[in-house]
Amino acid sequence: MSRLDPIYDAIDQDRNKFAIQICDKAMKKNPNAKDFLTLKALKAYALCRSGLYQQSYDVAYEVKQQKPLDVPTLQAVYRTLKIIHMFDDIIDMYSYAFNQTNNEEYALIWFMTIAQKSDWKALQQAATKIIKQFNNDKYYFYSVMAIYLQTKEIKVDKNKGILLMLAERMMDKGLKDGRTFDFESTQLYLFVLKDQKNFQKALDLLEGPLAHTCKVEAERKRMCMDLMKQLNNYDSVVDLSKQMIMESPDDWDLHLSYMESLQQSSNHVDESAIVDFYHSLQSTVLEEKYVKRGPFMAEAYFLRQSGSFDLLPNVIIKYVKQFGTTLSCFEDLFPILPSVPEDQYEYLLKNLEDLITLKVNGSDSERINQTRLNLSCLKLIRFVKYSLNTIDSQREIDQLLDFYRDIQSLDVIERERHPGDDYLILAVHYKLDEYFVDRECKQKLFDALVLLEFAFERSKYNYVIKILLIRIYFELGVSQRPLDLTVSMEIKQIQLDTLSFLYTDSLEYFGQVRPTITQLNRTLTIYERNMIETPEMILQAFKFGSFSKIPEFIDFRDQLSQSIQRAITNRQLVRVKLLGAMNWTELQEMLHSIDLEALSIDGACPFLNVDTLADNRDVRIVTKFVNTEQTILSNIRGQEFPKSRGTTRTSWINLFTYIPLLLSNIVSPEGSAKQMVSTEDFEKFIKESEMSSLESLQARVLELLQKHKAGILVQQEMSEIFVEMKDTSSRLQKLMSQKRPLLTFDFCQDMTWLLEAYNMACIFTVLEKDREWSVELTKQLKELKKALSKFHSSITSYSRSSTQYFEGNLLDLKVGC
Amino acid sequence: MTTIRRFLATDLFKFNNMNLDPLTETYSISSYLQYLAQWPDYFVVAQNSNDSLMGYVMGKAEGDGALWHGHVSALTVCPDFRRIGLAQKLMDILEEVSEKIYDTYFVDLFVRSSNNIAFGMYEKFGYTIYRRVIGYYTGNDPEDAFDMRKALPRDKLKQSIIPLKHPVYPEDLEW
Repeated sequence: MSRLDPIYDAIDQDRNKFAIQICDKAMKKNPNAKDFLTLKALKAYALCRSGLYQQSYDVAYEVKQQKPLDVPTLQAVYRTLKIIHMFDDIIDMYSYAFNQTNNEEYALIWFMTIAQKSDWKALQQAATKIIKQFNNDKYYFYSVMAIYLQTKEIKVDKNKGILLMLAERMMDKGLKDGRTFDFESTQLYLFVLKDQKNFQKALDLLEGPLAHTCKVEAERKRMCMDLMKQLNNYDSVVDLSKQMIMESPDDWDLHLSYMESLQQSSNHVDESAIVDFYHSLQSTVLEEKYVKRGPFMAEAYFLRQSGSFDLLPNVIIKYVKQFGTTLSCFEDLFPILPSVPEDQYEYLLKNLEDLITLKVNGSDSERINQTRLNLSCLKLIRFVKYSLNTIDSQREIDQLLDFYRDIQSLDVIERERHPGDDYLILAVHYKLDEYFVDRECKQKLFDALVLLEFAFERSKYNYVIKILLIRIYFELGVSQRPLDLTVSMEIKQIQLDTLSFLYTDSLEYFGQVRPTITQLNRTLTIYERNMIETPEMILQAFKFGSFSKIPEFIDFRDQLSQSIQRAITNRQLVRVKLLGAMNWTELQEMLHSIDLEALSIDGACPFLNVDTLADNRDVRIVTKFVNTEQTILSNIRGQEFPKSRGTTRTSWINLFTYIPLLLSNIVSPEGSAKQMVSTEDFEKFIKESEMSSLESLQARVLELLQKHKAGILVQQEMSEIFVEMKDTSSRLQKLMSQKRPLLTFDFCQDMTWLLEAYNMACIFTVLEKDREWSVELTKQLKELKKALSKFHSSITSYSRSSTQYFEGNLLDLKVGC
Repeated sequence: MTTIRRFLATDLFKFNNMNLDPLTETYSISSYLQYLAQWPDYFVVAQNSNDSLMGYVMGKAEGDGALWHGHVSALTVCPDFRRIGLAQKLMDILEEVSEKIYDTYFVDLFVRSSNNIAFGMYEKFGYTIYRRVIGYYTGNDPEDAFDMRKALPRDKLKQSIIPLKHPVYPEDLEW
C-alpha cells in the first residue's frame, strides 16, 4: 500500500479535510520527496472537493507550473481544473506532457479538453499533431470532424469552401488508403459532400464503396433517396419509394417521398393508377392484425395534391370507419380537413353523425371503442361546424354531457385516462367559444372550470385537463391551485424549457414573491445543466466516434441556451425581485446582485436580438379542434398565448433589459454604470413599443428619473403621471370594493403595473434634493401606498375564497350528473 | 402512418406528449445524450404524419462473450397512439439493430413483477422470464423485477433464455 492510498480513500469518502491534513503533514515532513508534487496536487483536489475553489486553483496552478509528467499528479490537477472549468490550464499542461512523453492518453485528454472549449481550429491542429504520432483511423476522422465543425461557424462562403475541400480530400485519401469506415464516419463524409452540394458523389459512395457501412438496407436506401431528390432525379425516387412502400406500407416518409416525386417527375402521372395502387395497398393491410393507416391517409394526401378535393369527404369517412376507434383519428385527419370544399361540409357532417351512437352497450372494450368512435366524429363535427359558423354551443355541451353520463361508470385502468375525458374537454372548448365572444361574462370561465374539475376527479392523470385548469385558474386570478396542479404533472429537466411557460408566464402578477422566485429559479436550472452536461456529451460523441451526433449536440446546446423561455424567465426574476424590494437598501442590494450578463446573450452588447432566440415552448401540447391560428390557451387569455417574438413579447423582453440596466445606473452608489444606455434611446424605445399606457407607466417614470439625474426638470411630467396612477388606483379599488369582487388576471396585471410605477416613483424621494417637491412627492406616494397595501391581502384572500366558490359549483354539477 | 427514424437530440423539445404520461420518466439531458453518443442506432423514434412524436425506444449493447446482448432501457408510446402495434414495431427494430449491427446473442429487459400489462405485452413479443431480481426497483416504490429475454439467431441453441432456477439479487447481475 502506497502512502497516497489513504489520501485517495479519504477523498473518495468525502473526508476532504482529513485528506488535506495528510497531504500537508507529508509535504512538511519531506519537501524533497519524489511524490511531493503529487501530494500537492491531491491537496488541490481535496480543496476543490471542499468547495474552496480559489485556494484549490492557486495550489493546482503552482503544481502545473512545475510541468508534471507523471500520471497521478496530472490526474489530480486535471480533476481539479476540470471542476473549476480552467480548461486553458489543462490544455497547457497536457500539451506539454504529451510533447515530452508521447503518451497517447495525455494526447487524448489534451484533445478532448480543446473540444470542450469548442475551439475547432485548435482541435484540428491538435488532431494533426496526434495523427503524426498515432496514425490510426479514429484520430484521422477526428481531424476531419474538427475541420467540418469550423465550417459551421464561418460566414464567408469562400473560406468555408476551402475548408470543405480540405475535409473532402482527407476523406478521399482515407478511403483510398484503406482506412476503416463505419456508419458514423460515412455520415461525416456525407456531411462534407452535402455541404458542398456534391450530391452525386455522395450517392456514388452510398451505392458503391461505402454501402457496406449501412447495415440496415432500408436506412441506406432512404439516404440514397434523399440524395436523388437533391439531384432532381425524381423518376428514380418514384420507383425506389414505390418499391419500398410495398415492403413497408405504413412508412409515412416513403409516402411523402413518393408523392413529392410524382409531382416533380417529368413523366405523366396517371392519377387513377396511383389511386388503384393505394387501394391495393389498403387491401393488403386490411388482412393484418393491426391495420396500417398509411395507405388510407396517403390516398387522402394524394387526392389533395392532385386537386381532387371533391373526393376527400368519402376518403375521410372511409378513414373514420376504419380508424375512428383510434385515439389519434382526429389529429391524423386534421391537416387534410381544410382542403374539403365547403359545399361538401353538409355531406361530411351527415355521414359523421350517422356513425355516432348515444347509448353504448356491450362489454367494456366494446363501449370504449364506440366511445372513441363517437369522439373522433364529434371532434370532426366541431371542426366542420366551426368552419360553417353553425355551432349552437349550449346544445353541443348538453349533448356531450349526455354522452359522458352514459360512459362515466366505466372503470379507469390505473394511471390511464378515463375514456370519456374528451367529452368533457370538448364541452369546455364549446364553453370557451362562448367566452371568446363575450369576455366580460366570466361565468363562462367558471362553468368551464367546474367541468374540468369534475373530469379531473375521475381522471387524475390526464395532463390536458390539468393544463386547461391551470390556465383558467390563472385567468380568474387564482394562483395557488394551478401551482399545486403542476406539482402532480412532474415537469422536470428539459420540460422546464418547453412547458414551464404554462405556469410561470406572468406569475409575478399574483403577488407571491417567494414562491414565484422559487419557480423561476427552478426553470433556470435546466439552462445551467445544459452548459455543464451537453459539452460533456459532445466529448462522449467524440469518444465513441459518433460523428453524426457532434453537430447535432451542438445545435441542441445552442437551441436550449438561446431559448426565449430562458430570456423571459431571467427577466421575470429581475422583475419579481424588484417588486419585492421593500426599501432603498434592499433595492440597491438587489440591483447589485442581478446577473446583468444573464440578461443578454452577448455580453458585449446589452440587448438581445430577439429574432435569433429559439422558441422551444410546446404550444401543440393541447389540441385545437378548429381551423384557426389561435389555440385554446390563447382563447382563454384573449390574446396570443404564449406570446411569440415579433409581438409585444419583444418589447417586454427589451423593457426588462432596459430597466435593471438603467436602475443600476441611477441607484449605484458609485454612480458608475455597468452599461450605458442613453436617455434618447430609452425614450425612443418607449415611443415605438406597443405597450399600453398603463404598462408603460413604469418605463415613463424611469425615463423621468433618468432625465432628473441628468439635471432636467421633470416635476410637471411627474405630476401628470401621478394623476394617471391615482385614476388607475381608484378604478382598481372600485373593483375590489364590489360585493363579490372578481380579481381576474387583468386586475392582477393592472395592479402590478401600478405597483411597479409606484416603486419607481419612490426612488424620486431619495434622489430629490428640493425639499418642497420631496414633501409633495412623499405625500402623493403615501396616498397611493394606502390603496396598494390593500391589494395584496385582497388577492390572497380572493384566491382562498375562490376555491371555495368553485367547489360549491362543482357540487352542483356532481348532483346534476 | 408512421415514420420510424433515429432519435435526434432536438426531439427532446418535442416529446412532451409521451413524457407527460405518468408511466414515463423524464431523465436528465446527459442521460439521453449519453445513449445517443454511445448507441446512436439503438435510439429510435416513431413520428406521425402530422409530425407529432408517437413513441420511442432506447437500447444499448453490453456484456462479454456469450452474454453479449441488446438491452431495452426504455420503451414508451404516447397514449394517443397505443393499441396500433407501435410497441411491437419499435421492439422489432431494436431486435434488428441487436442482430444486424451489434451481432448480439439475445435481447433482455427488466419489468416490474406487478406490471402485468407490460409483462403480458413482452410475452406476446416472444420474451420469457429468465430470472427474478429481488429488490431491483428501489425508492418510493420498491419491487422485484423480472429479467425477460429473447434469443436472437446468433444464439443457435437458445441457451441464453434457459430460465434460472432461483431468483438473484441486484449485486449478482453481471453488468
